[in-house]
Amino acid sequence: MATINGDALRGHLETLVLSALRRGDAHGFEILRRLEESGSGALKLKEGSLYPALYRLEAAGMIKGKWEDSATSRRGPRRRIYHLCRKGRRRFDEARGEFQQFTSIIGGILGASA
Amino acid sequence: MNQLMIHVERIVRPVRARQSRKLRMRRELLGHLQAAMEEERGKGADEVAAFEQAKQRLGDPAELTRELQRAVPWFEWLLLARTPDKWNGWEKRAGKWFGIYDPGTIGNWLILYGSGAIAVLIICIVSPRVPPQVRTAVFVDELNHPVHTKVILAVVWTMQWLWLYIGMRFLSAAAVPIGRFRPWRAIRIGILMLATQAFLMILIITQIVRRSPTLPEMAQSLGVALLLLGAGILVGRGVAKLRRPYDEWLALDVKA
Repeated sequence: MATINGDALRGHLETLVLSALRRGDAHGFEILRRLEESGSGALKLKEGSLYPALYRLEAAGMIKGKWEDSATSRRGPRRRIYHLCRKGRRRFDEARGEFQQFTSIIGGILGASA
Repeated sequence: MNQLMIHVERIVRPVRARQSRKLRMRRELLGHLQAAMEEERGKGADEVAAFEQAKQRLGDPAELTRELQRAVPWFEWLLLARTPDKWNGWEKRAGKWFGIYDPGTIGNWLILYGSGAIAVLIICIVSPRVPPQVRTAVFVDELNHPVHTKVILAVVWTMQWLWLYIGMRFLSAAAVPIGRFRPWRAIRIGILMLATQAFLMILIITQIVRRSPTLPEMAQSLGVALLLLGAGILVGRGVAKLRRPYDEWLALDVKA
């Protein structure tokens, strides 16, 4: 399967992050893992670009981040756990509708099934 | 760990954002790099290969810096934007004399705006009570000319602004490096600030009211300056304390 890289995902990354967070709260690395899993390995993100997207979503009030409890037994720096807010959930539903419409129109023009 | 931190610091240091925001970026990217390295090691890579692979996965550092910068609210960027070096040259020289220069500790615009705003506050609240001559001239219009009031306000504001600007610059520098407050530096700064305030006071009174200031007037003015200086030192100590979590990052040598 051909891979989809970061450039092709431009403009969709935020929606993808919201989608990953619908499965439950997660830190950055886990979000990435979920996305790669959902994309069956075909998604190739520049991993660093996830964080600016998370900051933008948080600033827009769509997700909320919280540092994990320092009492956890895991080694290494504390991780920031992100939670999908109601606003983010709404935005995700809108974006999904817009994307379905987009693929059906463009798919129709290109003669591909949407 | 140090290599990972250096890589993260190369990405985050050039970003213009407040320190707490940058610390968060650092921690998250470091955590991510560590997790990526662990994953690569799990696939059988040795330490060096795992590090290189994790770096590659994170993406081009310069591009990531730009992306992170775009995620910073514009007003924060504006406050922390770098002013041209020619504006700061005098500061560097004076700071070196005091042994305290550390550029970019607090954003230049923040200090420019901040000192301006505080000067306005002082003019509105404190200054009318400080040099009685100025207050009289401004509020009673002793000089009997409407233009004078505005000129006096402008002169007093500019002088207070200058005084605060110098003070904030030096206090900001005194709080580094890093995480320790240096009392002797603060004392030297204090002497400079008080001398500046005394000079401004004499200038204001002699130029505007055209007589020498009396001793109680000088004492009153210096009293206010001391209060402001005390507040500044407390802020400086607070800044130094707040900076502690950033020390290990700021101490890293990120030059390639």
